[in-house]
Amino acid sequence: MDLCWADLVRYAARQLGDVELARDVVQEAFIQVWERRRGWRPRGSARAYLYRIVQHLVIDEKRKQGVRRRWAEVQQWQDSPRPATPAEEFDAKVLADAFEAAVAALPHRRRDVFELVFQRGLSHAEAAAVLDISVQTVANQMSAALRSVRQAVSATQGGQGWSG
Amino acid sequence: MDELLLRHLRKQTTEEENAAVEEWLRGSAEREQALAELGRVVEASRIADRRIVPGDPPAAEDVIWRAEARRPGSGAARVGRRLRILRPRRGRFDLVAAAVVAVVGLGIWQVVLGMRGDSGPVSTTAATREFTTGPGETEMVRLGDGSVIRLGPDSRLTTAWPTDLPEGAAREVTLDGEAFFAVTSDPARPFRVVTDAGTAQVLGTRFHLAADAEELSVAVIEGRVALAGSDHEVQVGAGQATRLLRGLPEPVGAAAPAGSMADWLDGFLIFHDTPLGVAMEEVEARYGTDVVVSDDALTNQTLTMWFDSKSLTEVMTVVCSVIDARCSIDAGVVRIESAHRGAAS
Repeated sequence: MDLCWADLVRYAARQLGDVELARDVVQEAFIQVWERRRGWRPRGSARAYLYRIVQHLVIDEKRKQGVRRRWAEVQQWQDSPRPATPAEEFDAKVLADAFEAAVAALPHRRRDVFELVFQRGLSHAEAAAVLDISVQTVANQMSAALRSVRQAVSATQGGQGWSG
Repeated sequence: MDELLLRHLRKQTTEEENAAVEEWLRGSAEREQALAELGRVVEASRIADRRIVPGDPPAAEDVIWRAEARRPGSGAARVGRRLRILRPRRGRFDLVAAAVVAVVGLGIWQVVLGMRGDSGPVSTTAATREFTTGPGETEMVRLGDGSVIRLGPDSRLTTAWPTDLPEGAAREVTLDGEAFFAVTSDPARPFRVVTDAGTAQVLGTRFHLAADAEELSVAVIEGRVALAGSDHEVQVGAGQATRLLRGLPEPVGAAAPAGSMADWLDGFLIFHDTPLGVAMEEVEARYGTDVVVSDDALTNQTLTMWFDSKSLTEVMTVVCSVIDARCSIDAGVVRIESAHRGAAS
């Protein structure tokens, strides 16, 4: 069972390029949630509230650490189970590499929107609340991001059809 | 349309929406290609996500303790300076949910605890989960209904029930070995522990169970448990213990204190919708202290949390933070009073 911890750590890790640091950031977010619990008013989505805290902590952490690495260049977290065969492994690697490179190449704000909406499953309204932008801007950025990433990922097929 | 297609690929759409997608796909061959391309992006995203291993979340009581420890003026602040960095718990225990939810005024915290980050489809099929421990090992297990189990050494626990379990159906687990259960109350869905030596059925309670092929023993801390062999059944209430030996019940006697039921429960403290008064009696027994609750309203609060090898200060800091009370420990006596006591009305 995967609760919000995993999604938040992945979200922070993609921005910081460091999973251990991402875990610390999300732990700090939980502490802040506890500290602010009495002042919280359920005006919007709780999920957006939590992501917003994480987003602010990530920005602080980047300032502190001077993190400039692009997450696509950081492969230290690649300790997940591998596909069964070399062919599958190769295909999965090519696919994921193309995906990560395409996401990394997106403009900053567009990448944030794509991370929140496409990868973490937030609604457009929730992403707008996290990033403090309008829902229409989220929709526009998401559409453009998806177009770019889709093109990059499709190019890995080498012109052949994909059977799903 | 992209948003609908994405949800369709993630199997999050309704039948009506699926029909709309099918209708849309019939419009042109390019649309099928577009859907296939989108599916490939979803697959790529899934693979990329697997590259990041998030690890286990911290336990809630640690989060709360740390928050309290750094609060200016907190009684825990001095101790807090010596705190080590939070370390996620080992095992499959979920999120911060591990522990603390309780009572009043938690707002966002309760939402966070109950929040599912998995944006994928909700499974309606029973996924079998098996937990095993070796010699000297224990493991915390949190079930989908909120029940918490500490599995003892050399034991195996299996659970399988759908997330949308209908009323009247039992939440059933099988046990070989021993475990301590803190079961979430759900009168419409009784909780049943099946063992080779018999079955234990409960509504919501805390109890220790040990089972092998011939013997099933139970010690109940809170609530009520019914043990059933092939031909006999025996009811066991709070503070009582008994066993079924080859299907035959023995006389019901007094249960040992919670921490003394097994070596591996030493230092372990768990409350599950437990009234504050009952919980504090256990704190008194465990730490050899007196607890004075000076506000009757507080005694109606319930606690849901667990601790493993924590000091009295750590336990009371978390408890009092959760119930929004002021606590002091002086000369071996813990005093609990409402944080709002004496405030101008």
